[in-house]
Amino acid sequence: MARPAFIIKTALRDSRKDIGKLVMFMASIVLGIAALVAINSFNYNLVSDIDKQAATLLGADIVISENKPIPEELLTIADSLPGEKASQMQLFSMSYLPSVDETQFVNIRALEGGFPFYGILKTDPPEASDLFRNSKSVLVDDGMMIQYELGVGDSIKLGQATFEIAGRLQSAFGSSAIGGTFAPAVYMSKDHLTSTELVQPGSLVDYQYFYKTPDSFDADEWKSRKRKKFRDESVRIETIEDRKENLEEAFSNLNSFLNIVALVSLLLGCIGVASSVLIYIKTKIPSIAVFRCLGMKANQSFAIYFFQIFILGAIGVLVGAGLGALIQVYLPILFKDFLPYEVHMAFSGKAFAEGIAVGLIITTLFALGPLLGVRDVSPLQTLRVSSEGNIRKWSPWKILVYAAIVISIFFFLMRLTGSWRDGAVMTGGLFIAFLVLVAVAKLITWSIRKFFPTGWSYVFRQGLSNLYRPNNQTQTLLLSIGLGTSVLTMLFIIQGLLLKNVASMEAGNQPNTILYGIERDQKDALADLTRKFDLPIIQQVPIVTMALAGWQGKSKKEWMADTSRTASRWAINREARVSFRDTLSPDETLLEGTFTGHVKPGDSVFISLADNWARAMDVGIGDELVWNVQGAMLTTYVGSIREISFNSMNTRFFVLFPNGVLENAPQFQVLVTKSPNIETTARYRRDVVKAFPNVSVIDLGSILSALNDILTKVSYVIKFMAGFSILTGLIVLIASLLLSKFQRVKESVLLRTIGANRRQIFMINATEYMILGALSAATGIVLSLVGSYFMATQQLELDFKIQWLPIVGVFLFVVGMTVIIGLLNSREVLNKSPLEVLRKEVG
Amino acid sequence: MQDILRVRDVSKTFISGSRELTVLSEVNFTIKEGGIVAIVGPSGSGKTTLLGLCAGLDRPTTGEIFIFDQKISHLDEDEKAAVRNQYVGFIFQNFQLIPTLTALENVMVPLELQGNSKIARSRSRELLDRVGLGDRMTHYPSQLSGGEQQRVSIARAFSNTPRLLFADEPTGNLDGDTGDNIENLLFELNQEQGTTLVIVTHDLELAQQTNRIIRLKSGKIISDQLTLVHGSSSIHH
Repeated sequence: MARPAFIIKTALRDSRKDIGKLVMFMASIVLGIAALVAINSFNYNLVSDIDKQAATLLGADIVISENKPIPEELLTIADSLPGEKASQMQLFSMSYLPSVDETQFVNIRALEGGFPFYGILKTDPPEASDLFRNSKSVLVDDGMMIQYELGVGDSIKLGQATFEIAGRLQSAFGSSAIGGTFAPAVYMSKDHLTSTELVQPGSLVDYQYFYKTPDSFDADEWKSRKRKKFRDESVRIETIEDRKENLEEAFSNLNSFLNIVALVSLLLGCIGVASSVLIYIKTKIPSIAVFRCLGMKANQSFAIYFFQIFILGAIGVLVGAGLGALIQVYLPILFKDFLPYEVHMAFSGKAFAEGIAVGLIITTLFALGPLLGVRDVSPLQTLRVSSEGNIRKWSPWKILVYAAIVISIFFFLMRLTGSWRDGAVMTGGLFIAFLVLVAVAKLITWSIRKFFPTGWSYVFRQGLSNLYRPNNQTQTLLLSIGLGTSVLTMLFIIQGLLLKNVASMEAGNQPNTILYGIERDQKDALADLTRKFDLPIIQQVPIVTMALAGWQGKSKKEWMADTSRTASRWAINREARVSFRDTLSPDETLLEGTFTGHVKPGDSVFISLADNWARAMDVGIGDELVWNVQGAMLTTYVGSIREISFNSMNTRFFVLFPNGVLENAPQFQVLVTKSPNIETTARYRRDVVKAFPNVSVIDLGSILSALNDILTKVSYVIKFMAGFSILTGLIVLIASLLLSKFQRVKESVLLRTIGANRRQIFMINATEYMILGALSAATGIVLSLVGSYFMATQQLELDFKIQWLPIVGVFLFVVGMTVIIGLLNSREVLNKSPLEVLRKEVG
Repeated sequence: MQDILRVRDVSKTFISGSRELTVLSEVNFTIKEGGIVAIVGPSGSGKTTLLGLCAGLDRPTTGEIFIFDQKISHLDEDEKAAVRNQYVGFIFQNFQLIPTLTALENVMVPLELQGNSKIARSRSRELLDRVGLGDRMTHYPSQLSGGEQQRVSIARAFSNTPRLLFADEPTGNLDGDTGDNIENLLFELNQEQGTTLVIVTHDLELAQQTNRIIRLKSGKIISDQLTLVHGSSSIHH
């Protein structure tokens, strides 16, 4: 009886000359595993750095925040916390830079106390981080200072007050570099905020209170006790633990995308593994038959080739894991603009080990499918050669292996999506795709035979008949190329949808400049200034800030205590920014009731509600709503319900009052206009800020150009990652087409021998590969459309609007590559003597 | 002398589409140990099918085949493989060497399969020396001529000291002189080792050098005669 040593020895001897045939096999594994390890390492480092840096990102143990002043009662509770306290008011405003005569939209952070308690504000010079707290000076974002060539000691005007720049802010605390593109941070002392006169009734200000508690104090336990009370007033409490969760959640989309890339690369790698092993085993059938003839048992011959494949697979997995670990060093550099903190490039043993485990399991399972065919090779092959070697399509072992593949894919996907249901749905989707491709292949071979175009020229008929004749490759190629095309196209579609959803914010002919914070007495002067620039006043509306005090006969407090309440918390607590006018605008449609444009003194006030807010409040026509308009109570009734189109950039109001009620309430104005170009916007903005320092000019154009920068970076990252999949896909294509080489070369040589010329052989092969490529690509694309529709609508909640151009590109690419690689395979037949080729292929 | 191969009422039918194709019909014969037997017949007469069945490479549709007293027609694939490894050797028309193994390694395979690794190398060297390829042991099949490949194949066939050796058109792919040399080598080694040799051929000259000729036509034995080499005319049906 042959010992294991003989099996190993024979495996090694047999692999010496044929190792080159397994290059595709190794390449598939290396790329698939490299992508998996690189992405997992990056994800683990991201999460571990979130854990390490959450405290410095929050800057305190507990942060309490709200976009309006926090009620005294709650502040008293918070102030009873042991330890230190600090606070901050955060708002957006225009700034004016006298030294360069420029304006810039900035994010003002007015600090009081020793915040941040964890981490530091990194400044240049270092002493500036203390200086600005005690003087009328500010810290300005380094990027903004470089952009406008500002220096320490220069001035910056914020609202009505001018400050000296004390230093450059080198780390944008707790936000990503991308975030700073819109509104660079400017830190100042809270003591001087009043002098800017930027905080007016209705201004958008975030109020934050920071608490540093002793180590022994359990912040999360305190939060869970107080949460309800704070939540009733929409006041947020955030602890370090919350920040960790929030950050992890914030990056879950990035994670999901990267995981999809890893999965696609791995699946394509698996198809590559199966295709290459199938080719390899086909070339080995004569040797296996001789071994069997000489008395080798089925299990022994299987063991020889299993050993070869397993060892090479393991080497491929190790190399892939090593390559992945190297690539992950590059990933943080790629993503640095999107991360609010530095991700360390540590080697992740966990990702490395996982990559090796997943790689070994998946490689072995996918190789086992074709490898099991070794057991079926009959010794009779030595006497009568048939190319398939009597390999059975189904056997109990094969069914077991295929079941194990399905189960392992399910577990992998379950781990990836974090839900067994999603894992099952995706596994089911892949399985259905597999079945569809097999069915399409069968349908194609059947219909070509049934409706064979007998009138066509010989070369086309020969090429076409290759698709159904014995030993045809239609099913194998359709499966591998179709599945490969499908996953790649799906990646493109999802990438396109993600990018398009962001790009859809582009304005087109929409207004592109919005002015807010305009006081009532500035209204006319500002309108004049706007007209002087030849800019249209598209909208000029007043805004009054108010809060809901009660409805349907009960006060807000009573409602909050009522367990049968149906109104949503967000709708109740929302600080209402209300407008008033006598007509509906073109983007508003009346759904119910009658719109009242004017009310006489003493009459009941009928207001108009946006349909979604009315639904969230669970109120209808005639219901009573009581408002607290900055101290004064005002009773109103629902007169009408409107639908608002969200396609325009105009301001929108959930609650609309008629004229004749709010004219004397504290209010500010918003003006919407459209500037023809960047130069006009810059000049207009400068003049507005000079004349009305409290008014903020939001230039949507510059926001869009910043967005465009981000999109360019995002798409670069996406392309880099998708590159993995595309490379693996190409390898799969080459491996799949090598399969057909063994069939076609002998036939072509025979045709050459009996007199076919080069052109005829070329046309026969080109016809076959073009039809195969087109059918595989088309089937794969249809499958990817179905798959991405479900993924976009169910998983990612995106609008499903397809860009056809990239898909047509994928189709042409796949067909082109199939024909080119197919023809390259048969170039020997075209260029060399038939005998030479036959000797080489047979020998 | 002991019967080494018994073929009893063997038929083989292939299904081709909806048609049944009978390749062998009710074949009976016995071969005694030590003899040299030729199976001859025109193309399509069923010679190679009969060889495949006798060597346990295929299963008869009906009938029984015994090697010594072991009924091989009812063994499973692995059991038949064990019988082949123990008692049977092969020589093929197209040599059937394993292209990835050297000449020496090809010859060693049957012995290594038996677990005789220790003697495998020395015995294989001896045999390769014997067939005149002592200086080509590390060469791959693609580096050898047709005649040399067939000599490696003969060395491999004798390496496990088989009791029964099947040769399928052993000179069919070789030119006249090379074919003659191979025939001589085959008969010499057969004599030295005392092996029973069954040759499938349509080369009547080669058949005349054996002790007995079984003629097949359309799947049936039409004659079974001893040759002049044997010196008698007894027929074993």
